[in-house]
Order: sequence, then C-alpha cells, then structure tokens
Amino acid sequence: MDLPTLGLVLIVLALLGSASVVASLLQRQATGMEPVILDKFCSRLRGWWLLLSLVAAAALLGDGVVVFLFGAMSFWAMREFITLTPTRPADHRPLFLVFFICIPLQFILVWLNLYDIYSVLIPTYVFLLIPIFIAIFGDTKRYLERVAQISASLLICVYCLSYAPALLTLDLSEQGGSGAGLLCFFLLMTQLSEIFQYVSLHFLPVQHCVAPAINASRTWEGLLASSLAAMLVGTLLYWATPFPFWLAGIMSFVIAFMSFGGALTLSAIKRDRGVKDYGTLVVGHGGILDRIDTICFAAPIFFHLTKMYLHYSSVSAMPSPDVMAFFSYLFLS
Amino acid sequence: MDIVIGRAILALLAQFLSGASSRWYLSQPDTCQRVYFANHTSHLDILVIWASLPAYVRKVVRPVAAKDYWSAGPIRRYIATRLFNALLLERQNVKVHQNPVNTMLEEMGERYSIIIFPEGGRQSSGEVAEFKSGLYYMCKHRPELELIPIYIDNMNRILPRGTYLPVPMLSRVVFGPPLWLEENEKKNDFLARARQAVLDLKGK
Repeated sequence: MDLPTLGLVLIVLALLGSASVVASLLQRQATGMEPVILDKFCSRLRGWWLLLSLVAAAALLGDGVVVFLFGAMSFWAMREFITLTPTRPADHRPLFLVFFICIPLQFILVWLNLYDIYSVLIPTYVFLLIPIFIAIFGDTKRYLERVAQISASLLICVYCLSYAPALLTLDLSEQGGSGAGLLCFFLLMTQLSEIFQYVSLHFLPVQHCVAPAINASRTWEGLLASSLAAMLVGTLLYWATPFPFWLAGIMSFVIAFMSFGGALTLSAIKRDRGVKDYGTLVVGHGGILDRIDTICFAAPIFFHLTKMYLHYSSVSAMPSPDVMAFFSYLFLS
Repeated sequence: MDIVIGRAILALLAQFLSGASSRWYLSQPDTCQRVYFANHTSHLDILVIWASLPAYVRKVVRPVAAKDYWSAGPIRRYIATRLFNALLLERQNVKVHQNPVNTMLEEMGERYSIIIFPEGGRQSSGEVAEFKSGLYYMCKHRPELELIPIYIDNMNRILPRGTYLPVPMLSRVVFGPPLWLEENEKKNDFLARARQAVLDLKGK
C-alpha cells in the first residue's frame, strides 16, 4: 500500500473507531436518544466497516478478493431487486442465466481487466438476449414491462456496481497513487455525502423536498449542502487521489450528486413496489441494496471521468494536434 | 460424522439457494412432539423448513416425504434417509391396515415431530389449496399433539413446479402459534381453521 492510501485508510479507521465507541456507549446507557435512530446508525456503521474491510482486503489480499466481494454484493442486491419485481414463470430460465452466468462473467471480466468486453457485455449482448429468451418462451403478458424490469435490475445491481471494483484496474502509474486508494476515496465520498445529507436535513432551517411523493428526507438544500461539503472534503483529501486539488473537488461534487440521485431513484422504485426497505423480507434489517444504492449510481460516472482524465493527462504530457489533447494540455499542465 | 457435516452443508446450501429468513410469530422452537404443517409449492420447501429449525430441534424432526420420489437414486435416498431422517410414505397402493396416518403415528412414537404438507401436492399458482383430511385423523388419534402452522413465502418463484434450476430470490418461513383439535370439532371446520392459520401468517 502506498503512503497516501495508508493515510486515508488510517483517517477512516480513526473516524469509524471513535463512532463505534460512541455508539456502543450510547447503546449501553439509557440516554434520551431514540433507539430507532441509534439502531439505524449502528446498522449504517456495520455497513461502513464492511466497506472499509473491502478496501483493506484490496490492499492486503489483492484485487481478486475485492472483485469477488463486490460480485457477491451484486448477487445479493440482484436477488433483493428481483424478489420485489413481479416476474412470470416464463422468466425463470432467463433469470437463472442472469444469476449464474451473467453476474459471475461480468465480475470475472472486471478482474481480468478486459475493459473492452465488460463495458459492453450487459448493455449490448445481455440486453438483446433477454428479450429474445423471454420471447422464445412465448409468454407475452406484460412482456415489455418484464424485459425492462430485468434489464434495469441488471444495469443497476450488476453493471453499475461492477465499476466500483473496476477502479482497481485503472493504471495510475504516471499520476501516482493506487487503485486501492482511488476506491477508498470513492467509497469515502459516497458515504460522507450521505452523512452530510443527513446532517443538513436536521440542521438547515428551510427545506424544499425534491420529490415529496418519493422521499421526504431528500431536499434541494440537503443536496446542495452535502455536495458542497463533499467537494470541500474531497479538495482537502486530494493528496490521496491522482487528481490535482481542484479536480478532486469537482470529482467529489459529482460523486455526491450521483449518490443523491442513486438513493432517490431506488427510493422511487421502492415506493412503486410498496416497501420501505429492500431487505423487508429480512425483518429488522435494511437490505444490501439500501446500502449500495449510492455506490451503484456514482461508480460508473466516477470511473469514466477518471479514465478520461487519465487518458488526456497522459496525452497532454506529449503535445499533439488532437483538439481534446490541446485543451487538456492548456488546463491540466 | 459424515451425517453432521452433510447436514451442515445441506442447511447452508438451502440457505444460499432460498435466501430464507425465518421468523417465529407468537411461537417458540421446542423439542416437544409437534406436527409442523405448511403450504407446498416447491421441492425446496421441505429443505428450507428443515434448515430454518434450530439444530437441536432438527434432531427430533422427521419430514414426511413421498417414497417414490425420495427413494429414486442413491443421492436422493441418502439425503432423505440419512440426512433428513425422513419418514417416507407410499403414495400408491395404500391399504386399510397400512394407511399413511397410522404409519406416521407409528414412526413418530413418543419422540419425533413431523413436517407435513396437508395440501397433498405442490401448487403451481402459489395459492393455498384445501387441506386433505390426514391432519384431522392424526389429531383424532393423538389430540395432545401441538400443530404448528408454517407459511412459506415466495418459494414458488425460486423453484416452481416443473423446473430444475433454482433462481436464488429471497424467501421467508414464518412459524405460527400452536393450535389443537378442539373436542367435538367437525372435520371440515378443523381443516378450514388449520388452513386459515397458515394463511394468517402471510405478511407477518
């Protein structure tokens, strides 16, 4: 592990450690705090420990382990999603292929760093094969709706999520830093933006709901405040990323914005299906999908923005007549 | 030894494939003699109920299964007789002196509990069909037996009738409060009440 990544992990470790100590103290003492809020916080904490151990695994055990763990999360998120989606018997065999072929294949390709294949596997091949398969079984009832539901679940739970471990495969040798550091930075920003969002909901005086019918706790003020706060923290943590400080800030802003969008979108799906949490089948626990909704939406955008930056910042080292390269030369050098 | 490991593996596999979470609603696991009865939609049902029980209860529980299906082939027979300690019943050539109710009561003795599916077969639709009368006749002989209703949710989508490949969605097993055969209760009233007890667990 390189030094900046180690620093970042240590900071997160210190924050999480102190939060856990505070939480366990609060749980032991009968304070005026509402137990529901405390329980929610504790389950969030467990989620964060999980994410942190993912990054630690990346550094210690190698990228393969992380890709595998993200694959397992994807599998679990997918089963939560499909459980709440009304399918028909004709979807059974296509779904079997999705679970046992498509998900493993996507993550194996990420692990092998075959970007040209894994970036198109689901949106091209699988999205075309699913409607064909379902049509072969001849059940036309709500056909388009079913195809769309399975495609959307694959897009969110598998395709988008697979870009989080894909961050490990980016070549940062020129800019300095490691994939593990980038993943750590990314996960930290998604979770921090959620915390800022929560804090601003409780402390900002005037609030305007983005979509009252979907989620009463997502407000425009919260979005703005959390994105700006994430931007500030991201700028301060630029030393752990391959970006210059101003770009680290913009990236953090984008991550916070997409995290918000992800949480809102999955809330909308939940409202449509009439459930509160994706894990409602497991009494008393939110589902995996409730924990990773922010990551799903932010990961592909962050990955591709980073890839674009890496590409043009390395091109800009050698001036060429390429227009994009020229601009990046102007702005980045 | 192989049985302990085999059971653990089987329980884990069932847990993985069905994503089952179990819940005891107004009810507690116990080793007293019981008849667990559940709705039936999938071959996995028996496995999932069995895996949802705590290990110390599992030891005294014998699932009731069809002999023709579970004794076909060495793997199925091993799972049924050694791992499940299943109580295998003839579905064909039932005779007066060896009718299924008597066989079950004999095999239960004073120790074992059983798991049965009173609908008599797997339902494709996910609805709960009318109960067959075996449950009533068992209670007629042994009115002190505790009857525990079980509702299995979503299993008909995981491994529906007529398929061999499971889609690993999430499912739920809800154990309900015990009921008994009342004195002078009519057969149809009792069976309807038992069926309603299973249906009442839906969404609990």
